[in-house]
Amino acid sequence: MKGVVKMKKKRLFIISAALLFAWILSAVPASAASSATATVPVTLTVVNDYRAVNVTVPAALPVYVRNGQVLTADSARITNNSKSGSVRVTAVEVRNGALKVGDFDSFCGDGKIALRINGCGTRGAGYLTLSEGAFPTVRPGRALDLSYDAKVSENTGELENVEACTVIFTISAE
Amino acid sequence: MTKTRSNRTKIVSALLCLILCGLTAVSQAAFAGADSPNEIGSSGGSAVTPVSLTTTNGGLWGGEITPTKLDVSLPTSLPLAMSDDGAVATATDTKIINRSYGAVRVKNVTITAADGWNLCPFGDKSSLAYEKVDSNKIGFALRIGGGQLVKTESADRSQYLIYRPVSGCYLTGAGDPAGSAASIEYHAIVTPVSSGLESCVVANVVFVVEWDTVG
Repeated sequence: MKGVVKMKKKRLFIISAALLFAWILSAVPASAASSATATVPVTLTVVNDYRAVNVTVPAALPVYVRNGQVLTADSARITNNSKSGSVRVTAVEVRNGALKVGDFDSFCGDGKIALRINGCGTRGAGYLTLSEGAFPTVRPGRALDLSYDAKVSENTGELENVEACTVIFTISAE
Repeated sequence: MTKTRSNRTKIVSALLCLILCGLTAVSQAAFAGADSPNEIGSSGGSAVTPVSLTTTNGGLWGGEITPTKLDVSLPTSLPLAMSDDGAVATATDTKIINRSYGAVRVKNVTITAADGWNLCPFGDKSSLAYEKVDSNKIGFALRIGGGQLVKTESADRSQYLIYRPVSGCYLTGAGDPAGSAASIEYHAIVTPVSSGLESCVVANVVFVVEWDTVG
């Protein structure tokens, strides 16, 4: 009987202590972090296939108008000088120069010029709509021939080496 | 002997119970004001009703008592891509986003070279022209929120880039989408390597973010 009482007392003591401990813990205000640390690794990738593009584009696309007949160069080309890595013409923009850029397919008006490069005609100043296959990939060491036609307004008068318009080729590595 | 120990146990138990009761009573008394009558007994009388605030992590009247949660997202990595001519490209869309309710600030930023790598002063890549290939050195620069460009200044393995909050380091709470994000612009110069690397960790940048508190 004495043993049972002793056991009860012991249990009571343990429970009381546990309760007290739990109460003390719950009374401590929950502390959330007021600052945080994050470690961000700096990773390096050395990209050997990220090559500098080495391409030669024509210095000029000459247009001759002789007795109303328009003549263009047949040797214009874009050359990929790189020994490795193909390139591709991804955009062609034609900007106004001494003449305004007109619509190649329905050409009219004074003081205008219209171009058609590799089958893609101007519709005014701006980017050409590149048809599929017009500007294929240029492999290393190869060249892409540029075939171009022009239409020029009749009333332009006599001009010589005038920068009639500007053609901007955007070339990207493939 | 046994009786003495039994008595001592009894006394300690009683004491513990008394302390527990006392503390419970104190805590109940703290909340008693909410239930106690706050009566006005005469015409024109007044009573003060306190506005009490409880902050919890479980919404209204539930969960643990906590302060406002600090929740900030940082980039998982700061990638560098070095071309074969030494030009280093970096990500252009990295940012710190504060998703917390409250305003935060970047307290400090440190950079530490990874194993096998060393830091060097940041500058033009031509400053590395005399370095040996595979000397594994990186110069690093960082700009947070369009603020000042901070950079590695020495060869110390670990350096502060920002040692106290500066312009650009302060982010509003998530309620203001324009102010709660700060861009991280970074640049690096790296010494030449004799063999290719892919996602090699060359350094670690440690951002410490804290509440933008009063004072």
